[in-house]
Amino acid sequence: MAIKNRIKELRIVKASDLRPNAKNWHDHTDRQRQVLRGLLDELGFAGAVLAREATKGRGKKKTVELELIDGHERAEIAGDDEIPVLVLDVTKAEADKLLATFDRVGQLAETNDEKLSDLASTIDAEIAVLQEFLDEMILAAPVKLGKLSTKPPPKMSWVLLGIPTVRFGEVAETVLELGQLDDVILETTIDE
Amino acid sequence: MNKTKTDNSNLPAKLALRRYFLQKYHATQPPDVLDCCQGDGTIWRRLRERFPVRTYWGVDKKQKRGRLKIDSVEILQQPGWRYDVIDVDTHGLPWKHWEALLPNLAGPASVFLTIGFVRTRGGSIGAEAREAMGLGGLKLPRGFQHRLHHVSLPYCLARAGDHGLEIVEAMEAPPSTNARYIGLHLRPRAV
Repeated sequence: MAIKNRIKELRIVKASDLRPNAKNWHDHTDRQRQVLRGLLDELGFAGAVLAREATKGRGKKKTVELELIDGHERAEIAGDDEIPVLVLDVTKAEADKLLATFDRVGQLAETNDEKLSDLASTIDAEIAVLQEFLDEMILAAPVKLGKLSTKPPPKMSWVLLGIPTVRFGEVAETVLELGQLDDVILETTIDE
Repeated sequence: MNKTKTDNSNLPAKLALRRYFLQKYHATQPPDVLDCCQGDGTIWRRLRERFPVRTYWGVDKKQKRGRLKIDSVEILQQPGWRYDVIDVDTHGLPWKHWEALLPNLAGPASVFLTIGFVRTRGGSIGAEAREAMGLGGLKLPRGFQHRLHHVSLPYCLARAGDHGLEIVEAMEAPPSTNARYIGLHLRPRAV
């Protein structure tokens, strides 16, 4: 099945000129706004908001506006700044379908906390609120602690035995046998 | 712009280890904490959000505004300190700190040790570990050092007993590629 491309064009538009969608169901929190603001300040726009052309008024007063489908918070933060907008060729009903499902589909993915933590550990954010957000990801990884044995080790007698490398073969078997004795630590090395 | 830099290397493991001991041994009485290798202080800043401490002193050999620049070994070597929690999140080996604190530990305490791995070539397990293993008088070939590092831990920990201390509990968090993370709760052995 060929998947349709519904993107009509990419426009750069003043964010405040975009019409909010009355059916937007996201209740944005202060925290989300702070983090998003941090991301936009640190990285800038790395994705476009989604909108469709919608008419307003009738007859000669009829005008065409861009109605948001996704990206209300970004547009709100941007205010009078220009932002990238993907204009979609979708009907109002299709726009509703997108509005209802766009973010929810992403939320269906499960988080691998360990991988996310590893990734977040490698990132240094310039902006404090963003670094705190990354720290939360780092801390979300489950950590299993293990018991460490504190059984006192045996008191050892050490023998450092030097053997000319070319003659090591003569004692190799004996050395291996010694290494198999309980509690014996056997290390061998070549003098470089 | 508020610039924040953190040393997050294996932060989840380090925090989980400390939380375990703080919950188990220091929940009823906020501890006096000595953070021997404070770095940027991320670990204890995080911990103190959830675990109250009576006093916290973070020191480091690296200069930082408002911080006493001192080798914390010098603090631990002096008798008379009273810390319930001693954190040695060092970049190398913690055995100098360990050997310094053992003779001066007067009461129960939790100790956290970050034990850096010894490099294959040219690395050294350190004089303290060699001494603990009974290898003090022996000049070791370079190739031995990193391999002996793996067996040196129980010998170093056993030094607690030589100072009349009992290891009540020892836990380990998952290691990173660079280090092991150990937590211990110690107390003077009953006479």
